[in-house]
Amino acid sequence: MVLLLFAVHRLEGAELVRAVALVGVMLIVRRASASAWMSRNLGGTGLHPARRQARRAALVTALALLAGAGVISLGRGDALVLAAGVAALAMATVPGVLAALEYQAARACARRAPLVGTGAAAAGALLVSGFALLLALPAFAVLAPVIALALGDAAGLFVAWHRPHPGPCHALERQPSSTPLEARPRPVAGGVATVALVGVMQLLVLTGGLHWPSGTANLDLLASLAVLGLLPLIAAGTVPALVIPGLTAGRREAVVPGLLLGATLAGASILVVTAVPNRLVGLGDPRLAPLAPYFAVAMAMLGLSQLLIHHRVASGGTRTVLILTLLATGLHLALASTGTGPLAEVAVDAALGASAVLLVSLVVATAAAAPFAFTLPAEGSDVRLRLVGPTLIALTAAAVFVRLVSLRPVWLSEAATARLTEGSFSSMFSGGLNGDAHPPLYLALAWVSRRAFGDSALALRLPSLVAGTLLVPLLYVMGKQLYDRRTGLLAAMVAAFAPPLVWFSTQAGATAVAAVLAVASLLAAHRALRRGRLSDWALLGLSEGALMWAHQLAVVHLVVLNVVVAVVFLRRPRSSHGRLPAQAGWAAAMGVLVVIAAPLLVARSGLGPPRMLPPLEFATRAAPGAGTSVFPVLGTAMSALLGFHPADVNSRLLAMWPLGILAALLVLGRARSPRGAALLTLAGAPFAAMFAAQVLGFPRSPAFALGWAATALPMLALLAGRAVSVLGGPWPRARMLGVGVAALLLVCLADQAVRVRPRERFAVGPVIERVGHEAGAGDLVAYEPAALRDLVRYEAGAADARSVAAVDEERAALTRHERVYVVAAFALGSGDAGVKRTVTLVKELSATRPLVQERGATDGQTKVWVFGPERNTASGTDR
Amino acid sequence: MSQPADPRLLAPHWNPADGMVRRSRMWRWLVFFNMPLAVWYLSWLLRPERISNHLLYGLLVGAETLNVVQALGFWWTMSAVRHRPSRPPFTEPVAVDVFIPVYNEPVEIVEATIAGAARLAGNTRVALLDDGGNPEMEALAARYGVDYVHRPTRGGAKAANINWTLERTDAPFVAIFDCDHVPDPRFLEVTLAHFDEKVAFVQTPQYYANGRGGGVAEASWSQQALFFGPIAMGRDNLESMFCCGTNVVFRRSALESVGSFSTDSLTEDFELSIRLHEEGWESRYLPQVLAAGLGPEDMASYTSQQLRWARGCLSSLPRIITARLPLRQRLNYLLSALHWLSGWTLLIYMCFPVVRILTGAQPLDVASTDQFLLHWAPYFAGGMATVTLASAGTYTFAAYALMAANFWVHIVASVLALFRRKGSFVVTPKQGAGGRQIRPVAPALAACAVLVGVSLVGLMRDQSPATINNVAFASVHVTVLLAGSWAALRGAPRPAAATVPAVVEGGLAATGPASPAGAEPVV
Repeated sequence: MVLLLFAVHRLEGAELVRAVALVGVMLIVRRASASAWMSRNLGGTGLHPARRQARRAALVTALALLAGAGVISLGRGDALVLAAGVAALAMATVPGVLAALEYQAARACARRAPLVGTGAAAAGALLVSGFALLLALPAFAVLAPVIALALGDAAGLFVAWHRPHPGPCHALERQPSSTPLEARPRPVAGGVATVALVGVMQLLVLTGGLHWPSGTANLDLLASLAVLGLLPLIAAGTVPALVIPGLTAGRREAVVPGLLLGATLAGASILVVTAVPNRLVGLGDPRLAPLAPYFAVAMAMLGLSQLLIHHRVASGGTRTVLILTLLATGLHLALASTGTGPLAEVAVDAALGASAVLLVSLVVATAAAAPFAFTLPAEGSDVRLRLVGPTLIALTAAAVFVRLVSLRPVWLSEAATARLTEGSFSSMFSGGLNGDAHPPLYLALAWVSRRAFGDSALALRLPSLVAGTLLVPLLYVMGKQLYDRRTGLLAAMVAAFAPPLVWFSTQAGATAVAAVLAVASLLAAHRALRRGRLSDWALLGLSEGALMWAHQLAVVHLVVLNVVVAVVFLRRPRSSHGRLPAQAGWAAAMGVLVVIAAPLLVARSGLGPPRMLPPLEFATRAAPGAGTSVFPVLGTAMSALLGFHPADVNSRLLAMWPLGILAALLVLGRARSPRGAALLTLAGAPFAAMFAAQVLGFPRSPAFALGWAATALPMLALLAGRAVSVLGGPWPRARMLGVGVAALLLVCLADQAVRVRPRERFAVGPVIERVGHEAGAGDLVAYEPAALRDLVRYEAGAADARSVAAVDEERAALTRHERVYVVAAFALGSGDAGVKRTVTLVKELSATRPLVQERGATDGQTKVWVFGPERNTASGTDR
Repeated sequence: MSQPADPRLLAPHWNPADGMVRRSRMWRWLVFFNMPLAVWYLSWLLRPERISNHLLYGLLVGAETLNVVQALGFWWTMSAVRHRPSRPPFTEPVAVDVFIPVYNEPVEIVEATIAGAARLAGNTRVALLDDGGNPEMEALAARYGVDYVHRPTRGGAKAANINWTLERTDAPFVAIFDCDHVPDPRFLEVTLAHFDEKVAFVQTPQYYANGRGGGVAEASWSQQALFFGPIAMGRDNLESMFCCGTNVVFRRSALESVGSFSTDSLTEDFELSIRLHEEGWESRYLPQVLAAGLGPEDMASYTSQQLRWARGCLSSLPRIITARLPLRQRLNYLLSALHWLSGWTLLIYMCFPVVRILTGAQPLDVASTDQFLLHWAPYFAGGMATVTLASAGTYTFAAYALMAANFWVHIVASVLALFRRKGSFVVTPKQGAGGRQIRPVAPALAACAVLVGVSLVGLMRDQSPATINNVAFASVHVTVLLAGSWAALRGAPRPAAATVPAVVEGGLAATGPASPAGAEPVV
């Protein structure tokens, strides 16, 4: 408190109020967590002996911590340092309370070791902070007690653990309960777990201070990260531990629900942390935004580790926990001290690596403690599945949530969609038939959506959003029909969080709709083959026809699907009942397909023009000239599972191809299912087609974007669900594996949301979006290159939008407008001529108008010049 | 009875001939495609410009050559699988001596075998060949009315035990069962029907009834199923099936023509088969489960068994090379022996990421690994598909991992064979010992430690794609090795036949062993 006051006296006004409020929050948190801990672990000696009250107190703790983190994240500058200190102390609340209670109980039981430990903690805190004060490093003074407290607490409990008191001491031991496991005394188990974990976590955060020379600016950044990291840490670790009491009692059946809850909350909190610095707060330091999600992921993994530590310690695996924690700490120190580059990045990388190692090793340790055998789950092994409906609803809701928070500024191709859907239905239809790469089904849906919901970006993307969300329940049904309910649920989970599906669900384009129709056609084919009803065959024909109208390369999916149907027919005995009607049904379905698709093929003279996607639309390096190189198509296939990532990440992920050998070995003896073979073929065919096109030099450019493999995306999700189901074995373990996969997908999603900003692509979006907000009627927006046309016209529809080249040709246009915005995105391929044109225009405007603002995007390639009214005009009032 | 039954008395869960002929048509197509894929890969690999480090390249080429030879041999054997028409049961009253050699195995394991042998259809004379001189065995033999044979000296192990008894019996046919293999009553009726004039022995599958309980037994069974499924069926058509020491019937005159079993070899049955084929005798393999036994239930048992087989087969290499055999038989014996060098290839593959990370040296000089992938992946995928199809899913990751975790067995065996060190015949334990068994997997764990340590060193140095690629290779090895060692680290499961006494008390002798045709357990 003294240290806090020392920091507070430097503040004024609103910052002071905020700081005091934060101190208040910290005190509430401290009190609530003390109550919860005492009630849970010390039985009648606490302030709230009843378990119900303890849970209520725990809930208050969680909410208070969440609120605290939210408030803290609003801080700026110096206040942020203070906020970080406060948050760090709040973070130290649990070990602090534990230490205090240990101290009290030890005194009551005459145990010396904890007394020594907590005494050492207090002395250490004073010593370190005193030195810090002497060195005039107030920021460090705020953080120092946290380190000292954690180390001191850990030392005290370590001593207590190694020198247990010989006699019984009821104040320190868990109260007996009805379950045999809880009946075993586990003195200070929760304490050891929490302290060990929090100690590691604090070290993870703060050993970035080893790179101290770079000064307080870096510390500010680290402190900001520490603040933001609190949310996922608490969400993934503290909240599930409090809500699911079986975790701390060492019950195995509580682990998976705990991890599920933790992973879900972690995912949500990561997205919040990702969104907060970017959208809502816009904290001063630009380095915070790209680092925060990664640190949030690290903290989330740490939180999940905390759950496993609770479990392992309570079930007797304390030694394992200590060893793994020490290993993780050692690894972190090694990574932090040997890393090169900016301090904050090293610290975050080290935290990420160490927490990942800790989590993985704890998962392995937990799994190793469970009965284990490489056995294939028997048919009907999902009999223990419960709450399927609510889980599916929750997954669908989660899918909607992640899609909504992943919305991006409109991009070129989407702007083209907006342009095509502006006019009448017939103009949209005719424009779409030959003006877009894909057939016009999406345009038609977007046209209807815009008429119904307006011209917002959300309305433009609504068909994709709906289709992408529909995939979740649809894949459940598909998985259930092909295999079992557990496969369905796991496939639905993958569909909810798979980064590429999330991406395409938030893009105004044909991919998500094509993916849904691909699943629908497979579902219809499966039902038709199984039941043979005419309605099923009709549905097959309709879905296939719709798919043809949705996607240019849907033909690959349809060919494979119908070959599969033909193989099924061939494998059936000639004398089997219903063979003839089924064949007639199939013929009818083909007839429906032909009737629906024929006009399209005629109107587009085949599959349509090989163009239209704007440059850099996620084209991999694969291209007609790429020859037999397999990495481009492998990279595209990898994106189909893990989403889009920066080039360095992609190359590292691709370097992990030997894991494919392991995957092949793992499915040895298990790849006997014709259904699996069919799914694999459906998933692989689009990529094989891409590779063939690449080798043959087929002139379709850029045909190698992931969007071309739209029909493969849901098949891959289904296969992933099946793989988890099979490799997981019994449902509790498969569920646990599913949680791991979900966590991996969420990490990829966070990376995709934050770091995948092909600069040449995404930097332009927000810039033009802002211009669109500012520019009104009477203003001119001159853009370079011409490819920005649709985007500028969509965003700045009220203004007069012209390319720089057009303005160059008609100089008179410059005099008719009040403000002139010059937008240049050189990375989009302007060429030297474009640069020259733009520079000339800017110079010319500078001579006649005041330059109100010159701004740029982070890529350095996108610039905006805002010119005010001409100096010699009377009407020039600055708006 | 609520007690679980002895798995050997249950109906077998495996039929090697089931769907084999239908599948063989498919894998012949696969083999047709695999051959050019292998050529495609080798023609890329063996170009001089691929050499980066000469030593490592040489090791890689050596390992890949052995693998390709094994793969070609496997595909060749696969393509030879044919359907052998079944014959009506042999019901003439021909005398058959039934030998069950034992040496200090648990009585409760042997009892079911004796009971089954005693109920064999035909004119049989069952003998319990006890090298241990156990009075309980003698009492057991007396209880079931079979002969008890205990020779005065113990030299020469199982082979000498059988030879000694052969000299004191005279039936024209001799059936041999390991002490844990419970024969079906129809065993002789089915096997004797296939004794054409030149047939020396008829072998049936060595089926592990405990092969569904997980752990070592299941993985070990998975390996057996591949051998006694498509491989043995293919070899049968190539006239190259060798005797496996149990569940087999010999023509006495054939045995006598080659001087019976060799007592100098650890795999006396393998050696005997070579001599029989040299003398022009033929062999038959019947893909029908007619006896149910127990596979090794813990890692120590498995390792002991594998070491004996590996040493025996590798020691026979000179004998195979000099044998007067037709080329196809010689090649088949060679392939059988060379299989036991696979551990060397695994060791070499494990060394590559270690050397690359520590020194930067690598075997191949390629600008990008995608060209390696382009040439190697189709060959690998074709091979995996063929194994999967041929084994009908019985060969699993656990089987491969178990073999990989025991890579050191192959290395030790080949070194011992190279230096002609004499080995003693160690009987494969018939019951799991229980508890953790670190020693058999210590080499695998050491390899894991090295791979993990080097990977960490590499990652701390840099996280370039090249390092990550090698770390990924190391991860594959570590995963496989740990998976293979898992059973030893977890401890062996409860012995499968531990419930036999309870079953016996329930009246095994009265009910007899299960019929393979029946789906229900006997008790």
